[in-house]
Amino acid sequence: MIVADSSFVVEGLLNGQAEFEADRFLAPDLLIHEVSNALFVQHRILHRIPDGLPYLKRLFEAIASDSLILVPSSRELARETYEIASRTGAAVYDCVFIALALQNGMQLRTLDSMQTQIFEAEKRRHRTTAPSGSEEEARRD
Amino acid sequence: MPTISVRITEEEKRRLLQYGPLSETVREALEEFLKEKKRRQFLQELKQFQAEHPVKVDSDEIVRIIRDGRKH
Repeated sequence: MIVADSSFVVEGLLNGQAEFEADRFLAPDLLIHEVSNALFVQHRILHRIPDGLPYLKRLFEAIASDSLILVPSSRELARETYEIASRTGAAVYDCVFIALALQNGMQLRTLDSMQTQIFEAEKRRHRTTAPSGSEEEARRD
Repeated sequence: MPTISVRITEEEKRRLLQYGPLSETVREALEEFLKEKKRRQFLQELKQFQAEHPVKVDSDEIVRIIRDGRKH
């Protein structure tokens, strides 16, 4: 399984289903609203698509078919997201996808090269500084 | 709970047993099979929808829109 950024999912919905063929995807539940907003802009502002709702319907079909699994917010995900955002200066919304991928030891699929760079840097950092189980438990307490 | 019977070879049985109790492994395999079928069906329907409604949106534009929504 791979973590999908909203940009990757919008690309898959609009430009070709091949994006979704490789695997099943995981994403934070925030994705629904980001994809909705991107479809709204494509429809109402840029007039690239006649209506966003049929694409939104496909998004929910992706979820219903387990092609895309949404992860609800949690304290641990929010904490790791905040730490990455603090370290890198990137938006929390970028970092939640990165944190989810790191937490699950997964790759991140995104169209955004800046987000990819941050993910790769954080992955290297994660490998070298990941605390042991007992240290992690102590931190949580 | 309904029961199903499936004839399999000794070799298939031996291979399945490597992963634990037979019933549990078969139930898990069925679950995976159905998930994959659902996924394939979704991909097929999306492909058909996209063929009927062709659009081509620039990838950089998609990134820009997402990025605008994420601005501090």
